[in-house]
Amino acid sequence: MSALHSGRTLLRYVVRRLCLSLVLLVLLSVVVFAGVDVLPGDAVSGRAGGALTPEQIADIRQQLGLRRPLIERYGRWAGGLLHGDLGTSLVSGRPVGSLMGRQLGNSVLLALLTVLVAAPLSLVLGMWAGARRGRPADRVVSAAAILLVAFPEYVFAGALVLIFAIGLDWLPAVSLVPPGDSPLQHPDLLVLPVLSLVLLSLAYAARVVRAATAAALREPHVESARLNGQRETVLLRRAVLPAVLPVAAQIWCVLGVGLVGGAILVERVFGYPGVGELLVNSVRGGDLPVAQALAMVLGAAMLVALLVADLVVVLMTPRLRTEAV
Amino acid sequence: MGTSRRGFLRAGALAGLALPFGAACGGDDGRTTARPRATGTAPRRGGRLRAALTGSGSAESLHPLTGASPVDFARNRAVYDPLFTEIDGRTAPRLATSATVAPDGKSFRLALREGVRWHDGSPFGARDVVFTLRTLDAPGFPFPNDALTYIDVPRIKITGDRTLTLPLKRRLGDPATLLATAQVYIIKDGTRTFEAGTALGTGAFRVSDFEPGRSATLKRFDDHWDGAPHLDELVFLSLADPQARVSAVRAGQADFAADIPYTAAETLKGGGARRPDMVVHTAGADERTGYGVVLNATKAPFSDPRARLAMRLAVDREELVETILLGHGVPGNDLYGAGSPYFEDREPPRRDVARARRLLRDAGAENTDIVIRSAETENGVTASVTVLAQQLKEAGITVRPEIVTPAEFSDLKAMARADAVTLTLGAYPLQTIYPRLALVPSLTLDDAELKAALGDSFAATGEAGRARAWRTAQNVMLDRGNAVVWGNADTLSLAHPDVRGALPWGGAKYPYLGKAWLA
Repeated sequence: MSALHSGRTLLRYVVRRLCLSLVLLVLLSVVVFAGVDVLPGDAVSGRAGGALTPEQIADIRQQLGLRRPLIERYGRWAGGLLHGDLGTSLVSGRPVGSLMGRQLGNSVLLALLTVLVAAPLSLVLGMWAGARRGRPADRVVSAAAILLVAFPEYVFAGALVLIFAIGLDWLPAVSLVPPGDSPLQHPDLLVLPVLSLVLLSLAYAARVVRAATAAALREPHVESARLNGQRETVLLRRAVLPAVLPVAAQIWCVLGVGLVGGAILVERVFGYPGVGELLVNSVRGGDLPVAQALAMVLGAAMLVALLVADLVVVLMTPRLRTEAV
Repeated sequence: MGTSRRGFLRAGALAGLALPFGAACGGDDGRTTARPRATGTAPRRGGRLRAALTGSGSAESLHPLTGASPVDFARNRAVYDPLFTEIDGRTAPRLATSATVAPDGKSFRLALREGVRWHDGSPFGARDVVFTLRTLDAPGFPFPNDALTYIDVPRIKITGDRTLTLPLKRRLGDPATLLATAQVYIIKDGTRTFEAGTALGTGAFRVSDFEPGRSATLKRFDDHWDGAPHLDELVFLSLADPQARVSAVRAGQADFAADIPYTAAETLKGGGARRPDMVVHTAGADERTGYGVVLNATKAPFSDPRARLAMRLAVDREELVETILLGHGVPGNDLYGAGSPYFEDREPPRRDVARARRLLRDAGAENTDIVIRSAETENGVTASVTVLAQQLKEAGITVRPEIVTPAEFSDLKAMARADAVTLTLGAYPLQTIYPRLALVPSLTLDDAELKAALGDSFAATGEAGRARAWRTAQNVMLDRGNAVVWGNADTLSLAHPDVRGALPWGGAKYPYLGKAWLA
């Protein structure tokens, strides 16, 4: 097949995936808006807590526009999103964009550092264990991974604090980033949160890579090469790695985005100024605009991640580049 | 239901919190100690105190009338001053020196303190008070204040640079106490924004740096009317997770952590801290948080006073204190407001399951099912419902817990459907507690004697009259009331031993640090 034909096929695939993502994005906005809206309670009732009369609560809701029809409110909200206006917090009265901005950046940084450290490690550990399938080394890695996955995040993070901050006094217990500073200016504050997330996500990813490695090693052409006397290291580099890399890339694209909004407990234990606390507070306090905007941003990021992951797989797999349609 | 003092007072929220620098406590060696106090040695000037308190992330604010988390309250009370405050259970003047009710009872005259200056050096005066009250009274202002129930803000008259006449909407015998419990912190006339550079107070510290959800750095204000503070710098750290606050102190990143969990206090008893001289403090008997349930007396079975009494007799208070509070508290006597002025400090009722069964049978409520609505507004609240369910089963009451989030908890219709709701309240003045409960129909006890006594307590201009009215009101509650306050929980904090002079003015979960110093 010619390179031109292959390029057109890939382009068609990308356009189709983009269109699908846009449709999903619209659906996501509907689900997010309606889903958050039907949550019982809102910032007004939570704030009033019984100290306001029902009439006062109704007045405040009216002033905040919470009594308009759902469709009308969705239209205003979605229109705002298209113009980059994420709404105004019911609790603080501040624009949601300004509330989210820095926290979101901090969470992205945490996720990025986690992926940078954990992705290569998961590849090495997973392939190492997969190449030794059924042997003691594989069993040790698998057992350790299961153990790590089974531990609740806060227990794990708390144990790291006890050991490295309180016991050994090597690292800060909480990530107290000074106002105006980026966590990057204080690398010591990042170590324990990143280490917690690395160990937790590494365990999951390493198991996936291990399974992919073991499967690749059972492929007929690999078996045939082995029978022809090819060394294991060569097999791993030439036959297994190309098969495992797309899987790992896909996993880490999704895991990375998932960590942005999913590291809530770790962020909380370390007092890390990420988006997790904002998400918890907005849902807990019924701050609908903040909860909706956060869910939308994180959902959209996940859609982009899935798109990128799919494209990475297609680009890294010659067969798929031509069969992508 | 539980509530922060400020939230309860200002926004009237019934969702609660706890406090640190208060009174007695246990150290890492398990001993009991007093709160950091300013007694013994003379205060030392200088130093930097780092206090870790519960924050609310990006929602935190330097606006003293809208802050909604303990770190907001503690920080803002170091930056701003109220007209009056409570000190050791008594109303004490701050920016105001007196509040005198007119002979006709239709207004009161407020006299303000001389020599008070804002952080920019300009003088404080009557216009600032009017501006603050008008801000609170503005349409749509989302945090209503108790004071506005009584003060007719549009008709306030400035009678001098430091005097005002405030018309009343209804009878009020003690406006100073109302202003103290309502915690009206005064903002400067014309203030529109509350950022680090523009937020001006009259308080002991001025804001140097602030980022919501992270920290605030305050510098000493040498011209404070109450004397220059001892500390050079006061840093408030915002940490939502109680364990993170404990870790920050244990690792030396903070000097003081407010509102620490009982489990952490138990752990610290066993040692293991890098600073073995750290001390767990408790805010003392006057600063405890009442844990209980309020029965819905508007419908069966608790419309019958016999069923209400049966509930109170069926509860094992000691077991609840041991299991839910891990022993950090004392059994309650079914009255909220323990430690506050006029509180009736009676012995808690003894458990009597046999009598409870008889009372239920007489009330036609034998083997009844009830719904208790609850949310984790304080640590252990929802767990207490589980323990209550086990205890009440012995008296023939089957509990169906209805556990919801704090945001949805206060839904008035849902509360009205429930047979009882959990409620935790700090040591609020009775003047705050009872009117608040009366705003929620399903929490209100429709009793003529109680209503009359409450009316008298607010209208009485003399101490003796108020004491008599409050005694009557509480006797009604003890006789046929709808509250089952099973325990009063300690408020714990963790501090390094060199921390001194933290004062639980207006609430120990967010103490006043304007007088704090480091030994």
